[in-house]
Amino acid sequence: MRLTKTKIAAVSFGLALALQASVPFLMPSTSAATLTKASVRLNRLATAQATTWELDFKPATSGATSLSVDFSSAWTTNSGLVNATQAIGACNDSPDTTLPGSPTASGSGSTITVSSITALSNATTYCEAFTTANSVTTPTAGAYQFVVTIGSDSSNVATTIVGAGLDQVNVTASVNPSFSMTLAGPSGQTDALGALSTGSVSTSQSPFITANISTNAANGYNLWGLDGNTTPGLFSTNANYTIKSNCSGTTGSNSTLSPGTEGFNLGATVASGGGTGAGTPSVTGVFTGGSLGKGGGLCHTAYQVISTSTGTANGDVVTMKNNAAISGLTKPGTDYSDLETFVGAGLF
Amino acid sequence: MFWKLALTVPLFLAALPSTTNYELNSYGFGSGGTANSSTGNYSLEGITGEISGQTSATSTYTQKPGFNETQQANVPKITLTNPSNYYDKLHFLIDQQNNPTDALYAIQVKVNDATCDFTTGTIDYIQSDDTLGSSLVTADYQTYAAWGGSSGQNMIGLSSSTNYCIRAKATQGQFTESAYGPSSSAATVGQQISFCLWSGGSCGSSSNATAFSGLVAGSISSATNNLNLTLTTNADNGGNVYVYSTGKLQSATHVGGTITSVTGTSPVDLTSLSSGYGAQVSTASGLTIQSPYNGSGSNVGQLSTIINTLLAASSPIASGSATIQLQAKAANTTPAATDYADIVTVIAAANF
Repeated sequence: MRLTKTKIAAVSFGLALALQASVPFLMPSTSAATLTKASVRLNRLATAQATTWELDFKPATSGATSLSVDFSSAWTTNSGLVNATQAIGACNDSPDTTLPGSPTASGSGSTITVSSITALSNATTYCEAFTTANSVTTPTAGAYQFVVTIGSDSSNVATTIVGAGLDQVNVTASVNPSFSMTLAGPSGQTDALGALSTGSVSTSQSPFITANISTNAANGYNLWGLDGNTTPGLFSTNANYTIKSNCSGTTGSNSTLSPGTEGFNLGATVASGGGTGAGTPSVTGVFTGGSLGKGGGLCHTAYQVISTSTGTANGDVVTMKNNAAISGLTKPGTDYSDLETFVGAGLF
Repeated sequence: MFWKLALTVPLFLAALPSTTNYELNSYGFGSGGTANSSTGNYSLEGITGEISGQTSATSTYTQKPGFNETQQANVPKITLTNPSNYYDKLHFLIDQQNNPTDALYAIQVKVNDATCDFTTGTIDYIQSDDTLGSSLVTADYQTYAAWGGSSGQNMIGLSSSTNYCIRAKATQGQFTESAYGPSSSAATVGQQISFCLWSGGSCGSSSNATAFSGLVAGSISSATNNLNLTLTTNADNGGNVYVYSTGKLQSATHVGGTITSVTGTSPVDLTSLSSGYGAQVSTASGLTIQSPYNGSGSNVGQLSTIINTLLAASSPIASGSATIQLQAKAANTTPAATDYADIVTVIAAANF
């Protein structure tokens, strides 16, 4: 009797063990894998913005040939949109691999699907740009989750949409006006023409008269000149005589002096200082120089423009030469002189 | 019969046999048993005539008397927590309840059951690789040390926004497996990211603006207000902050009025340029400044139409923040104007 009871207990106990051990193996156990990495970068985070975006991911399982991103019903319910038309391409700001094959994309409802992908590898991180300008339109501000599905594996990703304009900063700037000019003569502020003769035209000696001009005036600058003598030209107090400049009234004229013919003028040339966006300087017709004796007459009652520029200047150099010639009738004197005034201004 | 009974009573009242290190918890005189009935896969330990394992219990304690029960491992306790906004893992810590160091523990899991009822529904187990699985095999019984010891361990590969219950049992060799101990529950949260950008004022200000007031040709100036940002995410792989713009400060009234951004993947010194424009991250916390925005002084990085990475983190960001300074320099030939403008866009994304 005792032996029988023990045997029955042993069999029952063994059966219980067998059942307990087998229970786990009888339970179904399958689940899709979570992606190793998944990231969705919207290129605008502010609400109500049409935007491009990028998907960056690493599959958990190799072999997938399609993918989708479900922006979720919350996205569309809160005024977000997913465009049916979707263009895709390589990410130009990521070292990750673009989708292989000939992938195409389309949107439907809240989901964008990409198909025709060559089998993906779980050893590779991929990046794909969704380049349609309004690929998606962001919804109202708040937190949103998307489901990124690669083959049979998926992950949730999250993003945040911020208030209107709060993903941007408006940057403004002003640039202060500036103008500078330096003036130098062949010898300090003096231009000595020496002894004039009827046999030649005398002119300023190097380094001549130079005006160095810089300005950020968008409309350029003007350089003006004025003759200091009531009768414009070289005046001798002792001789009470003026070798006149070719100024008539308030306007000079351009001419080329000849030996033995009395006259006085100012000829100018200009060189641009260069610089990005700088204007083009030039000499006005009246004061065009460049050859011996060629120039225009400064006047006394009005400033005349000698040089101008179409835009900004970064060290333009206006080089000016006084020219003088006498005739046999020019009264002798050692004190012929003139005071020339040069001014400049930016045209803002 | 009477004198036999008289003999047994004193035996039950005597102290338990013991040495300095060991104490016999229970002994009795039964009518027999077996400890060596086995096959290749199963072993049987049985005893007859002993008190049965019939339990008596309260709401917090269960007593199981009997020889077999006295050789069982102590029933362990376990706690489950979400210490840091985890969305795909939870942290468990075993309380050994004085089991020896070579005791092995198995951990049972119930998903999405706020009542932690392990008698119904699908049951999972924490596998030796800390993931969940529906099978419990020998390898999934691990020592306290293997389960993380006093620091505990994370069970991984979980679903977000999901409640999990766990309980543990212990064993120390054949016929010693305990019952499951009390359960503990915690929940994963959802994937999260929060981001704020502002310039002047505080996060959420309706006007994000900054200005360079009166750039002087040849001089480097900083914008009046810095750009500030905060970024928080529980993404396992952290996240990035990006920046892009029109690439220049442009005057609307003067076509030639342009202060172009510096270019390149390294910081550029504005002092070496006749004009330029760029950004520099002056401070950052919880985020790593990326080149070319990691310069100092007058060294700035590009503000380009191409989206560039400004800041990055490779693990969850509890409270990331940064300050960005904009610098500009006008050239002698940059036209004077009051309407230079750019729009700088700063965005963020998390890497889950």
